[in-house]
Amino acid sequence: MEWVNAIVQGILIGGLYALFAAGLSLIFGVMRLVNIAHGDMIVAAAYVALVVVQATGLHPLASAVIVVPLMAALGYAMQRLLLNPTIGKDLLSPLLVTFGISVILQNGLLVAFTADSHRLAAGSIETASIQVAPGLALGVLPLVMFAASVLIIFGLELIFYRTSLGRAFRATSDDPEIAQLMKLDRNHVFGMAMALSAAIVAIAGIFLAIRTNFDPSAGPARLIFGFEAVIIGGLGNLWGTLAGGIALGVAQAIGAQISPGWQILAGHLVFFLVLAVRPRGLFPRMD
Amino acid sequence: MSEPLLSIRGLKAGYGDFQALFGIDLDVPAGETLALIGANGAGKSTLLRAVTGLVSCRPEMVCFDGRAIGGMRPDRIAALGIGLVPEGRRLFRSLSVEENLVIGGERALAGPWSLERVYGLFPILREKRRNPGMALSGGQQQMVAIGRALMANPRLIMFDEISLGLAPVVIRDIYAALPTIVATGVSVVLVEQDVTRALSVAQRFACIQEGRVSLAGQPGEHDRAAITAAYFGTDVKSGAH
Repeated sequence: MEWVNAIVQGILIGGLYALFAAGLSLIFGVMRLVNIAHGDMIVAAAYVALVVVQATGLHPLASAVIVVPLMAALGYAMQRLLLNPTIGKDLLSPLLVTFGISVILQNGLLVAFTADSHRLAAGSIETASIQVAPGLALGVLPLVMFAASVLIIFGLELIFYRTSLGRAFRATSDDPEIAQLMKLDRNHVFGMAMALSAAIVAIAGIFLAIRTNFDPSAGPARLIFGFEAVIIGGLGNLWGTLAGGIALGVAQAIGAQISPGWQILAGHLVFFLVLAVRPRGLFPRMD
Repeated sequence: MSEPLLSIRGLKAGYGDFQALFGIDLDVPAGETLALIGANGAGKSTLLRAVTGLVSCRPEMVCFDGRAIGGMRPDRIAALGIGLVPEGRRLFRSLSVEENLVIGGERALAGPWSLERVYGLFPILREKRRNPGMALSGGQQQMVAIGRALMANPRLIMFDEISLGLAPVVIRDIYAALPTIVATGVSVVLVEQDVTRALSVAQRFACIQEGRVSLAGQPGEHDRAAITAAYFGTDVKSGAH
């Protein structure tokens, strides 16, 4: 039963990894940019949530009402002011800019909040659990987070395949030049993509802050988990990304069950295994 | 004659250090069809790219409806009512046939074209509307590309290499649709390798050679030898002229 428990917990944490990954995948899909600052944006969102919760007394989950639009607006501004001027000339310059944003975010957070680790207290929901079988209890909070992740990915699919914004994203990804002839302002489309990514980052940041301790240097590991989930799932496939997140979560849970030292390594090993056997991921959709 | 819809004056443009156009002068009156002919690499595509804003130039070099638009952002130029059917179709690969048409119609000007009208013009597209755009034959893809441009209800529509790489029977279908398009009053710029075909549907033509207009006028005005000379740049002795 211990193993079943570990695997179930792994599946649930996989939802969070899929959230880390979804925003990363979105940005890569629309503008072919690997956002190195993605993990640090998640951590920054966690700090924003911390400030909001301390200032307003809102429940951490309810703080999303403020954190999500705020992060989306910041994401839009960041894209228009910092990234758009470098996009299109070559692939390296926007990548370097995101690297710079990553460094600045980490050190900015260090100045503002010190290196002490923080955590958001979510109250009684943290300890609530549902007994599904003898010896197998599911935490309410992980379940809520997993359900939210699935819903967000479902919502992203709807946006991508059912709205004019999604059409604009796909058209710009397919052929940026001709997309402009469809009256699409490339700078705005990219800005909207980053805003949407940052909105998901906000949710991911809040969940991260409730689940674990975080400090200004916690970003890069989140970037790696998100990146691995995207690659395992296959580029351009959001449901694949969820599967990738779950695969990563389960691998880590099984690794931890073997020995605590194996937790992170097991996830990386699964990632390498998938890369070696299916370099395009389990469910590739993008060429 | 009233002010032409599209007016190009002394257009110079190119890519980086490579200059492709050396002072082009052209007019497209409202409602007329201009055939743009010339050998490969003459600069026809660059000309269309300059008009659509994909290649930059000085503002006054391209005027549309009396407004200097040279070097404006492509999305802004498109919003004024200039549509392009690009060489090689360039459909959006992740969009279905219908989505390719619908995206063409976003923020469209008022006008006759709608999804229904495009399906009426090319009935095969209605059957294939759920298919990915790239899954169609070359000719059907060209129909989607034309429909995508029409959906915006452009005032000027430009076809770059409209029949390049298509089977003769398909080319006939495409040309059969042209009168319906022209009848709506839209101005047309047609880039075409087949000179005879191009001249048969156009009121005016311009021949581009090495980035300059080598000959322009109405199709009946010049004999074949003069056009051939302008096309290839050979020195053909013209007779009584």
